[in-house]
Amino acid sequence: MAATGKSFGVAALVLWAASLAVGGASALAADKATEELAPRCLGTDPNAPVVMEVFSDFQCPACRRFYLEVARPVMADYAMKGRVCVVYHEFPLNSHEHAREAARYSVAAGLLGQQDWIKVTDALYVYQPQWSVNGRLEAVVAQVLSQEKMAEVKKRMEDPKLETQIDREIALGRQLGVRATPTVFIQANGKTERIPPGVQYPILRRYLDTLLAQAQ
Amino acid sequence: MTLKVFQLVCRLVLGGLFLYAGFTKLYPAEHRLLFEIAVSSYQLLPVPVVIIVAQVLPWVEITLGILLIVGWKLRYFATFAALLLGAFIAAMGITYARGIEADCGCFGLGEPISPLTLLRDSGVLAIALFLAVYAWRKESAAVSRAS
Repeated sequence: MAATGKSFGVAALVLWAASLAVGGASALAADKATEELAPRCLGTDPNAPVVMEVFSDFQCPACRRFYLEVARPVMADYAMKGRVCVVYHEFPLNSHEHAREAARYSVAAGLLGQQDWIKVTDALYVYQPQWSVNGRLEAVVAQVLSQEKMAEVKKRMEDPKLETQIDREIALGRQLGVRATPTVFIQANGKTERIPPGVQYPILRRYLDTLLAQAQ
Repeated sequence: MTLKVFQLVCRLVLGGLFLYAGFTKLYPAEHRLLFEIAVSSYQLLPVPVVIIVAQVLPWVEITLGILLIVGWKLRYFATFAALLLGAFIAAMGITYARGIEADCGCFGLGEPISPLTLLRDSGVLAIALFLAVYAWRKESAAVSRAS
């Protein structure tokens, strides 16, 4: 497996923005109770003028496409330059047998730090076709984490707070009208737009550039 | 006479729908890029074509709407409207069948493609087909009378 090699930017930073104030009618504001555990803003500026929130299920093929083809480039080209804040929310669907476990790995890895969250999320999406069938999630995650970190992730996964965290994110999604995954919201200039997840990255770029120009 | 009134109603309804559809894609201004995103979400066209379609289509719809309401060269423009609607329904059907969650982009934004949107657009297509058939028959009847 070459998930590490496929990870975008070693220099990528995931900020824990418990103190994050994104402003406007952000869904983030509604989720204060989850601040302890949730990876918040992916990017170098938690006060970036544009916020992209994604409700995603690790076992959903459309979520995989969106993450690999759209979210990753957005993180590399915008979030890591402090222009967009990307927020990933767990929204595992009951119909997906291993989605909840994958979400637990992701949230637990997020507790270790920014780069570990990215490594694990990358691996989970890249190798989704394999683990969706065989259910061997641990092997996928173990490929991208050291033994010590893997042990720490497994320990964190036993924390009941982690389950509560996932439940809260699902509840937040439902509150925002999320019915399917991925559901994407973009907030900028005091407005929130729901973006169809099938969007092609170059087209989304045009939209983000326009929002950023308006925000200046 | 009844048919004449009915075709007038159909022209006004179809023309009005096209006008409304075009305007909602252009105004407010941010809808232009959101419509581009909607077209892109179908994942049927390459990016440069998505941009062209998103920029041209609203104006085509507005022009077509006006022409249908006015009734000028109805047989041609009703036929064009039917073909356009057929293309929309085909694109929506293909995208829906592929399991892609795309935004319809039909009348305004934020409406995912669903059986309901397909059914609604099929109803609009039926109106366009009726107008096209009506206008072509009327034309051929006029030609027969003249000869």
